[in-house]
Amino acid sequence: MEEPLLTIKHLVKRYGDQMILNDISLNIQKGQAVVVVGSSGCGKSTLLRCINALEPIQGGIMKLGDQVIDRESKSLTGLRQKIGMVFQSYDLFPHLTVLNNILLAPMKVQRRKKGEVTEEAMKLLERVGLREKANSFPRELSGGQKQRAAIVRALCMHPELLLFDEVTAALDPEMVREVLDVILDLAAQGRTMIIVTHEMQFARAVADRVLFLDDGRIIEDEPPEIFFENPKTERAKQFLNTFTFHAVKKQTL
Amino acid sequence: MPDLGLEVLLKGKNFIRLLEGLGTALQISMISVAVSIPLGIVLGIFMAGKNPLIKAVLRIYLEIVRIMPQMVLLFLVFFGTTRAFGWNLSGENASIIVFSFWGTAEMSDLVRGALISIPVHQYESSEALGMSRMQTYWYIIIPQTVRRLIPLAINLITRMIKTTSLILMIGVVEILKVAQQIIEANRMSSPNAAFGIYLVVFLLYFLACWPISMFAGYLERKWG
Repeated sequence: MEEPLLTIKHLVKRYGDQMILNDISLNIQKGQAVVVVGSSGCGKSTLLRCINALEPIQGGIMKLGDQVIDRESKSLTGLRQKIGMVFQSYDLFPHLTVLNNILLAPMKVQRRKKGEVTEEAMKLLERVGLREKANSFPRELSGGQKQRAAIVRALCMHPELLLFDEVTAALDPEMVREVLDVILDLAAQGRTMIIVTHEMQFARAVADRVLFLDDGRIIEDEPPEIFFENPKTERAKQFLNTFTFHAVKKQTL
Repeated sequence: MPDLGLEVLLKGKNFIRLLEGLGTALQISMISVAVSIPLGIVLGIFMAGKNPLIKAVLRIYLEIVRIMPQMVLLFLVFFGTTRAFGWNLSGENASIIVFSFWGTAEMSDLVRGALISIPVHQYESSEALGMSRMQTYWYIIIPQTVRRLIPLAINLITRMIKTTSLILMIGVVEILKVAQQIIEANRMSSPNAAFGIYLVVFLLYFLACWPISMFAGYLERKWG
């Protein structure tokens, strides 16, 4: 079997006494789209933040390829270039245009030529339908447009792994689709992704593999058709039930 | 039109003297601004920082400046230092000390406010792009802080200019003092001069502060 792109062994994350991630072990192969679901507070966002070394961890080891993910490491910035992340909150830099948001890190961190990055950025913007917004400021964009621009910004760094942290959770319903379509497109290109989401239909469509987190542990790790049709644990059944509605029987008075 | 006594302005060097008075006021405020802004930036960074002791000390400093009327500070420094330490501070220097003490406190609070108003996800998304701590500050945090800060700092400057109208109380001959002298000297010949001269004083303050305020407003619209 091929070496996994991401290896997590016995990851532990605590805030004070509170256990957030309790002994998480996980391998992700190159090209996999992994969706992480679970109720709020189960630790799924924290897991992504740990993988990008935004949180200090209290135990375990994480590796991208053969490089250890360590907040204190000198090569942290190099490592983070290989991991693209898009957050729930709109995180574009408000003082820069969309294009400059995208160009900043490739030019300043990777020291690439402006012309070359611009060309790539414009192609990607075109692909997500934002070509004409290249010179707009983030405040002139809708929420969905901002998230698409943030995805392009992450892609322009040529990351090996993409992390999506509830990127549609703050969006109006009609804008969710346009963002999810972009992510589906990325999955079709065979990108390696970890996606935290509450959109179950989308999760099912995009995932090669679904992780169900509960109370800081991975309690299911299945292909989507199995997880959504025949979840093994009672907890997962309950969780999935919260997304289904039964028709209300009208009482006649 | 009632007699405003404006002819007094044309007597002798009266108008020139008023302008010189304005010059003194502007000089004192500008020197104080030049001291306050860099010092305020440094203290503001500490106030937004993590050291609880430094933060507490700076907080007390800020509260003292806020609570104490500037006039009291002026008296304290001008008369108090003479009594206590036998210093012979000129009114101008005492004013510069008080204005810098006050301006630094206000500026540090503006800097603190601007710094903590930058959301934490701005730092995180910059770091997530592989930028170093230095690059994050240089390309992301400082430009946003400065944009928020400049209009506020400019308003502080106009406040400092206006507050120089207090320093005549410690004997500094600034524009308002000159105006009083002119009015006093012409009490018999032009009893109405008070209105005209103060009107001119008003206009001169206005001409000094208005362009600065306009500039602040422009920057706010441009960066808002």
